[in-house]
Amino acid sequence: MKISQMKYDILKEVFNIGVGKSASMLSEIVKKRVLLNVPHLELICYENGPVNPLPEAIWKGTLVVSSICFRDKLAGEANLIFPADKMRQFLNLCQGEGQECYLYDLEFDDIDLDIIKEVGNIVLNSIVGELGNFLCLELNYSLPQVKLLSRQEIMANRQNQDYLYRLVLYITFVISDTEINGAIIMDLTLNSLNEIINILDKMEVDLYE
Amino acid sequence: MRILIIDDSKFSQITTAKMLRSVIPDIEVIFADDGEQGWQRYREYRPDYVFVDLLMPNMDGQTLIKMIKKDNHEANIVVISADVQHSVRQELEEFGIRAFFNKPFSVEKAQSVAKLIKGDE
Amino acid sequence: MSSIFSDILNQVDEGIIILDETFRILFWNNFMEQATGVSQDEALEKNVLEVLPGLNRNYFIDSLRQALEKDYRPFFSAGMHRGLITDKAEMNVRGSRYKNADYKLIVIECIDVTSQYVRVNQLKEYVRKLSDLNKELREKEKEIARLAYYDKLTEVANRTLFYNIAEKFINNARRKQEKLGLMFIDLDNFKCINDTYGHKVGDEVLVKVAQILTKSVRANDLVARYGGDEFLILLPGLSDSSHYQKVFSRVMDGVNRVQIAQLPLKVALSVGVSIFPDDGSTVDELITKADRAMYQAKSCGGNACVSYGDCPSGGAVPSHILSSIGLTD
Repeated sequence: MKISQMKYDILKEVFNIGVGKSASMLSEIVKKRVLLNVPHLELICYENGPVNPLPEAIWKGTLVVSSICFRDKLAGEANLIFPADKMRQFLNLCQGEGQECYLYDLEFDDIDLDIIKEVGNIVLNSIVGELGNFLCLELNYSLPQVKLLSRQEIMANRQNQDYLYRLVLYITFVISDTEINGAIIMDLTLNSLNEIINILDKMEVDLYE
Repeated sequence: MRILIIDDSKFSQITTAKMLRSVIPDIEVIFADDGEQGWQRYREYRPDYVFVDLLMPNMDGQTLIKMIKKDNHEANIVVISADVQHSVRQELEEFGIRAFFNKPFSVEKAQSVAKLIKGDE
Repeated sequence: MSSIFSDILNQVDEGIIILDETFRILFWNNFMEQATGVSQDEALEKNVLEVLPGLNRNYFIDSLRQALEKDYRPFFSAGMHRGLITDKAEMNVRGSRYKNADYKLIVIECIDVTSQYVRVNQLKEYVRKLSDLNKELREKEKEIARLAYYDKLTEVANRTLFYNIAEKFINNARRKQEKLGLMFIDLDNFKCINDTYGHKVGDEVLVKVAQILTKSVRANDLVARYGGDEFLILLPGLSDSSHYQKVFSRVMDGVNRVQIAQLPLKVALSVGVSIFPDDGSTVDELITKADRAMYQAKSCGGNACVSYGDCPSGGAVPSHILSSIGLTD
């Protein structure tokens, strides 16, 4: 399935509004300036065999993944992904100064995992919530689960074979001048993507009226 | 009346223009896709009102606003952005922008822009 | 609420608060009573933001509103929100909404994770101790190395280090076809100083002399204590004899200025010099020759420097004595 440039543009804008809201909330919580941006978006289809989003050069090593499932009008799973070393950096910023780091770069304790869960909840909810708002669809979702996975595992990790489509959002997180690059992978069923595209079609037509 | 809309999203450009047109009669709308182009078009067309997004490639909204304000302290600038942080908003208000709206832009927000413009006349 | 359900909620091992749409507290379980010290009677019917002022923050209120309106499920981690519920415990807080046709409720669960903090703090403490211990060990190692190679009293190189380095210097000089100078220094009348003024004063003299020697040489030269009141200096890359003469005059300069309380005498020393490869090709040979030259300096009254090359082969009377006097160039 191919979607028009304008549909990409609409989706990107919707996601930017979503991450903008989560940035505002995170900035209040950590009492620091937070900038979140979706500079790039990809739609990947599994119908035609394997595809490889997330360039290997950047997405190597352990990745920290928070995932939520959503149901009802749209069915799928959304995953917020950060390289573990970047996540460590982020956690250190979140917990403020004076937090001596006793773990190695790639290790996380229970307290860290809870923080990751909270951040994942905020970001993923804003994104999925904004998509729901925009498309006027009510969505139902769970609290995120946090996992440590490799890139290969994420690629193979499509929970449900019904999820034929993957939306990959590359996101940039800037917190106190530190830039952290991550991604959001949204797995969608064919029906869900069709639903989204139908709504976007109508919007596109309305735009040029 | 001439307005300039600067946004890297074509979709936002079109929806913002549409909503403004629906509430303000007789406006000429000019678009720019990023801060740099925005600066060029601003100098070329001298718009009455500038609507600007913040997060854009090739010069962000903050920088553009500073440049426009330096050129003309009285310039009418309205910010429409997905960045809803208080600190960002406060910083911009210090530059003397006319209004700040969170995205998504809506008819209600367009109406309050119309009111603001009417008040200026 | 039916009493069996409230009994159940009072037994669960986490805090449960149930709110109505205006955030008024409808239920407050036993766990909450114990965790906060606020009894059910005090909490019920009050606004939750009043009872738990830690929650009175924009993002928390926004989250609860979103939970009511959009079924958002807020989750607040103890790590990012210290003291959200109470100062006495660290808690993760989650919210969820339940609704029927007539009304909506918010359920707030408070999960005590203080034990995680205790564990993490234990770990941190353990890691800190380990790193302290590690540091201590490293310092001890350094100390041991220092003791093995440096003289404890004067802090210049000891014999072991001297021999190690002398080997290297000789090899280097051989490879580069350079000269290597060795100065053998012996204090004059040191035994007398020790006997008359005590070992403490004697030690002080040794320390002072070692300092003067160290200051008088170039960065790459080596000063070592050979034993008792004997010091050695290695002078690699010696271009001509004037070099050791310069060192000698600097040493004499310093020595002449030494003043030690309780010691009315002036400190003086005798120096013998040997040169590789002219006077010998091994460390021991060079030391022997320098020692012999030093002995000649001493037998002429001391406070002088003699080079082995200038000694007559029989070694009777020194033909050339570099007295400290007149050598201050």
